[in-house]
Amino acid sequence: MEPDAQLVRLCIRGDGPSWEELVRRHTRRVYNLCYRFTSNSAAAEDLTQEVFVRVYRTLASYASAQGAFTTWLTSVTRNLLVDHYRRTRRDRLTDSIDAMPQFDERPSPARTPDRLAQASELSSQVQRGLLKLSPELREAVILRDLQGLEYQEIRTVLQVPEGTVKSRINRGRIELARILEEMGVRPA
Amino acid sequence: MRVSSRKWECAPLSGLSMDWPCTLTEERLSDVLDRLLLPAESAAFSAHASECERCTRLVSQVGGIVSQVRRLAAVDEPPFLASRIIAVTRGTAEPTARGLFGWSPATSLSRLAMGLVTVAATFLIVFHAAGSGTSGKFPFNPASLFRDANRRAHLTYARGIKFVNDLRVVYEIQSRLSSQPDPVLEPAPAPAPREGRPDSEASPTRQPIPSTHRAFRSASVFALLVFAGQTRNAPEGTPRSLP
Repeated sequence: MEPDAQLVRLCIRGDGPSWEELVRRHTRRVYNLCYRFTSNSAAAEDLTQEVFVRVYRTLASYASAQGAFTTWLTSVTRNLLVDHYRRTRRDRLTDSIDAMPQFDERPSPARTPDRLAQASELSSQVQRGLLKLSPELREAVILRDLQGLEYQEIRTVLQVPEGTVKSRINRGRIELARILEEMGVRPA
Repeated sequence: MRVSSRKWECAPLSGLSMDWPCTLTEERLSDVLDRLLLPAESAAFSAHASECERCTRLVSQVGGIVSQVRRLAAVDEPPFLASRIIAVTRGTAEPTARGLFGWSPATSLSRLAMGLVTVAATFLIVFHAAGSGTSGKFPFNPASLFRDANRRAHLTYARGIKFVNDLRVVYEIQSRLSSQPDPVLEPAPAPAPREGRPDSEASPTRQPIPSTHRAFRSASVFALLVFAGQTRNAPEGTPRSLP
């Protein structure tokens, strides 16, 4: 039995430290998924908290036989992201096209300043490119290339056939490459 | 905002293997990059890519971007986010500065001081609104507070007395006016009718004063009295004083 499933079982029994361990283990993953999708650190923070509140309330509905806990957690996160996207659709329509969001990423401190600056710049450019993708293509690329999920897991999260998953990832990658090329980003 | 997808232009298929057209490169690009092609498919693609510069460039470009994206470091979450989530979900906050020192006397004293300051500010606002601070003196001096309250009480009492007296004068004048005939509004009594003349040809009898006229007259008198009191009690350039 994987450690997450064991922790979930303990959580359902009311073990507080297990819940704390589960939260600390997956906070960064959920936050990154939210941040990559929204490009807004404050929104990502709120969404991350909302995700775990929902997970806390519905933890009993998770069945380890249906898949890994991370897949289930990603599904919950993705559903909330879709809700958030629908909620903020009107705000985005009224926003100015020129008003690009400022990315305030906090990269890991264990790197040299030059590499840190380059990585930060590249990360910002990729983030801008992701934001220009359609939500369907964006979530597929994020789940595959940033979250590292397998096709089968993405199919479970998105609840679409695997052919659709492949198609979205394919189109998303090509579109992202074209956007980044237009932005002057050259492949390594 | 949805970006329109641009199809990648490929070279003509002349001289290339028909098993792998250029359109297939775009369709199966993710399989190529993720190494999910079957051995036969992989061989066909390799044969095609060795002869098609555009497909080679497409795979190289998209593959480079994908590898860069995959190498991106995870963004650090805000500090204490996990602790806040745990606190929200379980209601047990992590020990923070406030939690550790919330019991200390210093914290209690600071809260007491904040409360006192709030109460003092409230009193200050109330006294300013009541007009106690217009004299320029310290508004919380007990002597000035008592003097001000005493002055206001006397002023209110005097105004009430004056109003009652004015009403009394108006009522008296109105009573006297209603008991006497009005030479303007009421005609003089007609001479006695001659004998033998029918009553129908006699002069009109005295009519009662209409109530609207009485009200108009009373209002005029009252307005005159009030105007006279105002001019007597309020000289130019001096604050209004008690009569």
